[in-house]
Amino acid sequence: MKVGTPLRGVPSSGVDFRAPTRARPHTQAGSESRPDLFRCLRKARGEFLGLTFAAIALATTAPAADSKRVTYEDDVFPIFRDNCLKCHNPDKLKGDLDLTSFSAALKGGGSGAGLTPGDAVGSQLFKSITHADEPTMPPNAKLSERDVGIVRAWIEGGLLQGVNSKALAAARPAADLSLKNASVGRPAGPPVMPATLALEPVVLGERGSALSAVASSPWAPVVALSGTRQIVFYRTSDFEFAGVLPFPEGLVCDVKFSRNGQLLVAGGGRGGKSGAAAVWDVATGERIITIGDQYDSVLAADLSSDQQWIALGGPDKIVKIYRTRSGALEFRLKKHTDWVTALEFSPDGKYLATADRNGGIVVWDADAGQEVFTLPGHRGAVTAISWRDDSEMFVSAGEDGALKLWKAADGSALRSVNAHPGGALAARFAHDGRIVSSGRDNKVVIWDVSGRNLQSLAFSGDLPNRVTFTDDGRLVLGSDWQGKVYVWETKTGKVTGQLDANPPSLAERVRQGALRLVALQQELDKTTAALVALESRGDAEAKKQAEARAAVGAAQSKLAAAKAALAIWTDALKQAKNKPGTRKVSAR
Amino acid sequence: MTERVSNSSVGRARPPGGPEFQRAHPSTQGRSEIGPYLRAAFLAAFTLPAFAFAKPALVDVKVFPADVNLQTAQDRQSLVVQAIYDDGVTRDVTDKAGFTVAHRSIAKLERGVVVPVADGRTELRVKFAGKALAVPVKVEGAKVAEPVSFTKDVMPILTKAGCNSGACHGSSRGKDGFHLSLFGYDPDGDHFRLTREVIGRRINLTVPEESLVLEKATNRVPHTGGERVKAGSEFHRTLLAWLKAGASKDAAAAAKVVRLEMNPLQAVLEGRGETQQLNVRAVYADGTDRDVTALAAFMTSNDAAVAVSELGRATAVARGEAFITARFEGLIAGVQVLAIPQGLKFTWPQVAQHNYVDALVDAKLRKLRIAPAAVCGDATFLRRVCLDITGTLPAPAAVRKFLADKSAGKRAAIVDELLARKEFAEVWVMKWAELLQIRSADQQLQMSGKSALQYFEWLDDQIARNVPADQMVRTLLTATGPSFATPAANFYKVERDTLKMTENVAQAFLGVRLQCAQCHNHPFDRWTMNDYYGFAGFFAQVGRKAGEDPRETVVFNSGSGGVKHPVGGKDVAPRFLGGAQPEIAKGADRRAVLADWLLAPGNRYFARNLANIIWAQCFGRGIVDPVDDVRVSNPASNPELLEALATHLIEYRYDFRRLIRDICTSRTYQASALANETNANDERNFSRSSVRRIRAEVLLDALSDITGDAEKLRGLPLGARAVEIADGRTSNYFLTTFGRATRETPCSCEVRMEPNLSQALHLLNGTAVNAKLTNGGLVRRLQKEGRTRDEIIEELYLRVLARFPTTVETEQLSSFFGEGRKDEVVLNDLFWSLLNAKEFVFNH
Repeated sequence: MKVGTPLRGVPSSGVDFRAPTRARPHTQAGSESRPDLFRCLRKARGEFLGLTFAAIALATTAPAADSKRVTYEDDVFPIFRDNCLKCHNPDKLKGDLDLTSFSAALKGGGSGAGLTPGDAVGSQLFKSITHADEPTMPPNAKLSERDVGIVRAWIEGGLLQGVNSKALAAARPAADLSLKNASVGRPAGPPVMPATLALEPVVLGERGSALSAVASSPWAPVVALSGTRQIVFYRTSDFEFAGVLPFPEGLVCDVKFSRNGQLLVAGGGRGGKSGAAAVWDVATGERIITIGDQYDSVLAADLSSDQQWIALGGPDKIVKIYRTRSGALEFRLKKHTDWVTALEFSPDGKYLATADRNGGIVVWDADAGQEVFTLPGHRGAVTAISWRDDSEMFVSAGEDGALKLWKAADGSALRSVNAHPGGALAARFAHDGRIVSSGRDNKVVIWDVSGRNLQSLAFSGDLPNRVTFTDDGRLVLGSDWQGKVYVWETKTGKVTGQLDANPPSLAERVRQGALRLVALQQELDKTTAALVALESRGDAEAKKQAEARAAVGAAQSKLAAAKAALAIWTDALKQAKNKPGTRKVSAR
Repeated sequence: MTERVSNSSVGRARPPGGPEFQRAHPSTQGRSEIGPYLRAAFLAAFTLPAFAFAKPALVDVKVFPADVNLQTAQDRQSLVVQAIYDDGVTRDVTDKAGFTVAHRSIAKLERGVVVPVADGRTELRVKFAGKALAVPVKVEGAKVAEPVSFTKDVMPILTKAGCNSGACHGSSRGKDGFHLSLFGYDPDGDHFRLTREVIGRRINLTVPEESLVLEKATNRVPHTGGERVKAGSEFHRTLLAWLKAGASKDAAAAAKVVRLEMNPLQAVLEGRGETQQLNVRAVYADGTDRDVTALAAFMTSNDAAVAVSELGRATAVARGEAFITARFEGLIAGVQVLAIPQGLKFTWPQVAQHNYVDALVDAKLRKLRIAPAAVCGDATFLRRVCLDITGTLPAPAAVRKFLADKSAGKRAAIVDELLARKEFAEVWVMKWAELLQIRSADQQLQMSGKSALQYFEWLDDQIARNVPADQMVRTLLTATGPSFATPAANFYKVERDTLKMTENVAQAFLGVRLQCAQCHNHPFDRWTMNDYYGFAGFFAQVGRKAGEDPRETVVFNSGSGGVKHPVGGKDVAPRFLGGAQPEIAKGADRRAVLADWLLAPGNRYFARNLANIIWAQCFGRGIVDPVDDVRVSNPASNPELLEALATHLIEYRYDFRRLIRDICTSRTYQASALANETNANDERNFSRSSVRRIRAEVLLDALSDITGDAEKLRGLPLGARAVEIADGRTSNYFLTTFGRATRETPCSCEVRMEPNLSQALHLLNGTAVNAKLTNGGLVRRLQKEGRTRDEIIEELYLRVLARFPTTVETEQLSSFFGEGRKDEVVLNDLFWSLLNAKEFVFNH
């Protein structure tokens, strides 16, 4: 960076020409912190409001250099983020130029510094964005006049980094989630269930869409389904809706429960533009960690079992490992030659297995960030990776149709099964070592580790792309291309239920609940009447009376459950009505 | 010319009134409406020649399309009205014409577009300048709302927006991880890749607006290709509607487009900025049609002359002509648009027309306001016609005789004389040998020198006996038997790959380059992969086995086998190129069926191609150029002329001597190479002779003839001519430098005609000129014969340039002699200089 570059001329009237001199200490201080790289907001709601506020602030602030000082962090970075960072980030480094941080932007690219403080017209970056010189940027497009005005004001104002207070603010620790030991086996205490999650969906879609991820808590009867800007929970005990977690960052691409079932990690974003991963407390729905500012969707994310690490993968081909305590990026693992499509930490926390769209699989030492094995074998994109509970082996599914079992100790290929001709799309271990998989042959199959087909599950839908076992291994959950979610009983292989990944609004839910209440009341009346009739006939029909009594009891408990559920929903609806505008309801 | 004045006094009718006409057409802005009328009247009064100022009269008004068929509730049809004036100029008068629908209960007009109301028939009445036209309108299914179709609605957008172009996602490996078939040849594959390849990324059916395909296309998220579709545009709405409806594939296989109609077929735009809206209509296999003007991708062959907008509006830029093509679903159509300067003062000169060639060339030149060059002198003509017909320079005696001849018909007579010479046959044997790739291979077993020679001798015999070209090609295509006994069977020995064979036949005999369509629909032509593999089917059952001699191949009809289509992997039934699918009995020789089709009098491809090759031999440039690149987007510069030549060739029963006679006796052929004011920039319309380098073989033979130093070529006796080389592999440094065809492909580009530096250096410093000049010893020989210095100078001029030296040249030359320099030395220097003169190296 050219710190000593003399100013070329005094900027035009209305701008404090000493500004660059004042700006210099920031740059010399060498603050490398990337704005917004790591953001920890205790409340998801707070973040939402913050974003809205920022959006309003941006929309209403004209690029008036004389009324407000234009800075990299506040004004220029958002423009770069929307238009430039997809290529000019530290991973892609197109033209050797990185615009993701202030210092990197000032350093310039392969052709030298692109910014001369005070001289917009003479700065290569400005020439490029105004298409005054080659290369014209962004390629095939042009920034709006407003954006160009902001960049001009920034350069002419002397390339300020940010307002003082913000510029030097240190990154705060994210959350200390670390466990003393890796969580292996069933944790003590009652199963962790969602308790105080929001019940109003963030998005109400007209139709379902293929789910990118389904996950089951390892120790509780609850599953999480990925969606657009939300994650939806269902109980697998009664298939009842259990709440939503908002994910305003965009489409959710991967969802996993932590090994002890207390946390949920998810990754996603807006394809081609931005991505993030987040960690929530399953019981409270509180968002604990957000790792933002990726330049494309996060396609795969996982939390290590000791909860020290979060690993991310996506279209930039780099596996990134963040420390949960500080939120710092500790490892950038460059090995994959195509999009990172799947990754999972081993249950004992020793290894991280990652896979890409080119068929490559790499096993890393999770704590050291060192490559342990490279496992060639798949001849198509790898679509899923799942470890067995004992961390001895993991299974991978590939578009080449194969399921492959890999041994952690020596990286050897234990077995390869041509499971789904046309492409295997999902594979998941149960606690007991069975594997469930699905693929483009429109089949859902349970295997043992020797590759024996134990059970084919009845499926007549459209392209099952994600499957998993529930906590007890008694059920299998799967989604298809249409966005339908099926629940099978593994014993019979039959579908026992369907979940709605695109749940209705709370108001609609209350309305349906009321109708259901009526139906259940009728059922109760009917069973009660039958019992009364039997009782009037005396003791002769004792056996039948007992049956009828049981039916009445069942109807009563059903009705009670429905009443209780309805009460919760009605209450939630009332609360939402009292606080209008706190949550968006419609899709757009 | 007086007729024009009287016409102009009538003038163009004033635009009628009414609301439609209140808005002035852009093309008439800045054009004085009153001036010309006054001027015309003024000039008429003084009976001055008024052609330059005459207001052209309206001759005709045309409406496109000629009928309107609306088949669904969403169906629309736009219209274009073109006015044609007596000076050949056309004008887009769509905005000035009055439109009314006879029955508004059937159809109505919305901003100039016909919209269905109810089923039935009515007509659209179009009025312009007192002329009225009726366009029949048929509405069926006015209440049938058709869902958005993937193939019919979405795929064309991917093409029009450029998503599937070769530089973007259409490249063979896709772009940034996303691949589409080039120009959409594989809709099923594209549907899969859009919706199901990477599940959960490219589309989002729950919130369709947030689908990545839309976000990328509208550049709302960073997209390397930038904004391809405007948010909120018609295309955007269509894509969104498709996603909202579930992003499904079409329930039933959508009807395929069988024909693309593009109108008007020709426009002559006067003045920079004048425009013509084009109209494109697709006709489907089920008989329905559709206005695809907005969906077609437009291209201009010459944007320096005529530009075209994305929506198909052609705009004149500068004088010249362009061919505008529209591409839609793998099909392509094109129209010719000429741009001429406004208010150009142009008088068509009184020139003689010797035959149909001149009439058709002149018709085009008049439209372009180009005057043909004057007729060239006798010496130039003689040299040119000798080079073109016989590939030789005229001998000095022949030049003297021709120049002395005072008879009127001497030019026609010399053409006849030359056509009877054996050298004429040799030139055409060479040209056919290039088309047939007569060449020994690196591996003797593949194509031995012996085989090449046999093949060449067979060809030589065919041409010498004047076997009609169609018969010869039939013999080649259907050749069966051992190649030693049946040398024509070498046709299938030269190339053994079925697909390459297909391409070669198309290129050599039809002038069509099919190569692109092997892997994807041809981007600039009508050929699809189906056409390619259908045509290849004719060569799928050619059997080859070794003969007794290992160098011999026996060609036979194997009666089984097929060619697989790469999309779908099924055998493709043989289908004529751009034609029907014939019924062929199992085991029957498919090649015979192909030959019947190719050589049928009704099939003009073959005749046109041959006529064009013949024309190019005489003019150095084809009417379609290059001759073997006939394509919708590379049309004939003068289609009428090409058709007439083809018709005559068929009439002459493929005796091309007669066609060459027509060409060489035309005034057009005899034009001077000197440009006049109007034709200086014309390269395509034969308004003057093109100056072209003499091709390698002819140049070497000429050098040998002139210097009297015979050349020794590999495998040929001393003194044999380079034109007679049988084997494409035979060459020498001179021939290679001057671009002799290696005959490795049938491409016309094998013969390289561009002059270059190494050629110039070789003539200056290489062995070609100096050694031949020394070895030949011509000057000394002439001196020994007792010729005087002036006689020798004259002889050298006649030999090298086929003309007498001019007085100025003679005067200037005299200053070089004397002063102790030997005559022989000076004369040899002169000889060397003449051989290095451009006038020698070029045919002019």
